[in-house]
Amino acid sequence: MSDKKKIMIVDDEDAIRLLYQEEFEDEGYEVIACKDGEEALEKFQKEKPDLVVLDIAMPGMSGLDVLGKIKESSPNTPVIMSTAYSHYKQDFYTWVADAYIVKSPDLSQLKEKADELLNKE
Amino acid sequence: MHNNSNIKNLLYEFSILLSKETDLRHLYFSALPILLLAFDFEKIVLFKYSKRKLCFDPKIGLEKESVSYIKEMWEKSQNIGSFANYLLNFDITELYETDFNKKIRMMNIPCNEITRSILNPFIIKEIKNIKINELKNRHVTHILKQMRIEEALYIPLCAKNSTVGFILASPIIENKQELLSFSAMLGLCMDSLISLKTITNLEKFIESNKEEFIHKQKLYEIGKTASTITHETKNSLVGIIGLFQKLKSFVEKTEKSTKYINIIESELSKLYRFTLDINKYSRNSSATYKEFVNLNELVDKAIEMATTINSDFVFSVCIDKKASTIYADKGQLEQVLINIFKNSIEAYNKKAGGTIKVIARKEDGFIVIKIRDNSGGVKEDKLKEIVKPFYTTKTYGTGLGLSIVGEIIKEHNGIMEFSNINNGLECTIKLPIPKNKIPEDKNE
Repeated sequence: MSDKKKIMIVDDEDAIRLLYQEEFEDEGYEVIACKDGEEALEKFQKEKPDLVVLDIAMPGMSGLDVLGKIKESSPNTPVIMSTAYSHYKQDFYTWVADAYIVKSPDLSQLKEKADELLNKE
Repeated sequence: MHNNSNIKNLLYEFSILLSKETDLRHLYFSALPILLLAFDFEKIVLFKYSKRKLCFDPKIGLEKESVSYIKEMWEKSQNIGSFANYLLNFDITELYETDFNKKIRMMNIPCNEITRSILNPFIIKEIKNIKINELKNRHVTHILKQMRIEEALYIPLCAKNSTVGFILASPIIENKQELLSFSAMLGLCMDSLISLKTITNLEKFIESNKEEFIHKQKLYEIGKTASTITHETKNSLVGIIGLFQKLKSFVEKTEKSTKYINIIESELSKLYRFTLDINKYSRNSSATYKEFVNLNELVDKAIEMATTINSDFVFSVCIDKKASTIYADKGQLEQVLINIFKNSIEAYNKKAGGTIKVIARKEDGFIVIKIRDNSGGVKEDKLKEIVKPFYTTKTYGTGLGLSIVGEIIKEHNGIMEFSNINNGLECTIKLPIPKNKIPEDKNE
């Protein structure tokens, strides 16, 4: 299937990256996993993903910085912010993002959001 | 033996005493008996002038019979200075506990413009006789009635060319010249001890602020570390739990493997819930310690602190007797008052003439405290905004003050409202009176 939708996962936590990758692959998506912001921005231009799942608290470039850069170059690509706690929900930077989810071992919420955003177009 | 030599000897003891006294409250109780003995007064009352409130506070009332044991000591003392030393070290409790003293101290003279306008002409710097039926002043009449006397000797206490207080004594005596030596010394001594008290209070205030700051900084660091730890832990757990769910499908189901998996699962979910809980706690503010507090003292202290910002502000305080006790966290409520005062002071843009009025009364189940200023108020549509964090009109405060105040009042189950009044802002604080708690009777 060449029209597989591409999801980019950005998270510094290896286990989470692997978990998300496998779950989304099981759902039939193509997954590009990146371990930090720099890698994400580099691959974003090359791969042109249909959706980005972005962690906020990362060493180096923060998820909010990455969000800004992505929205600058491709404002229509939906971005889901994902973080451990809901502190950032009030941060107005995250308003630019299309969705905000709190990380949980139960991925159903994340998957629902991803489906919803990808099938809007 | 109240002859001239007795007065001279007592004056000598008086000067020794005054040169050694270090405590203002003790001074009232050690100095007044000497005055009473020297001039054979029946009754004597001392009022201290409060510069902050521009009012007089009753500090001590003495009657002849209550100092009879002190008189005995005087008559027995043989060495020069021994009587002064006795008074310097004697326990004031007995004199404090007399009914007359308690009655005088309970005398509540409201500090407001009216009282001031009546009392101000009364501030005279010479000793004179006053008679109850010649007095137009209701408040002074009230004092004389409380003392149960018809006429009294008014003895001003002065220092640095201003009034520190006054004494009312009865009966009237003719020998005023000698009385002047006593009152002049007492005025100076009171003034220097008042200054000392102010400095000590300020030092304490600065010190407690410093400690609080360090304490808060530590708490902040601990909180930050804790939140980093939980953040990292939760992040790891999300991956671990998720991958473990996947791992389960690869594991051959035996009795043992199922048991192990169940244990691991329940432990993991316990840890996970823990990371959720700990985050809730980190958002709670520090605990409040509520007790019955004297509102008069609290307001006084807050005024004292606030006047360090601007000493030209004039405060009026009128606290109804029924509203003199509130149930609150002393430190926090003090912060509330200081912050509100500070806001009013900072909002005032003229050089002089700034006033703040504090009024408190009891109102069905609540103690209602109103603080009014003449600093111009805020725009009507902004009234609700001013308690929000970081809101500032540039004129009223720095932005965080009133939001903290609001939080504290909320913590006390109280209500805080702001409204514009003639050329100023009025802050109304309603604190509930707890129904199942009865205040203990406290003497100071």
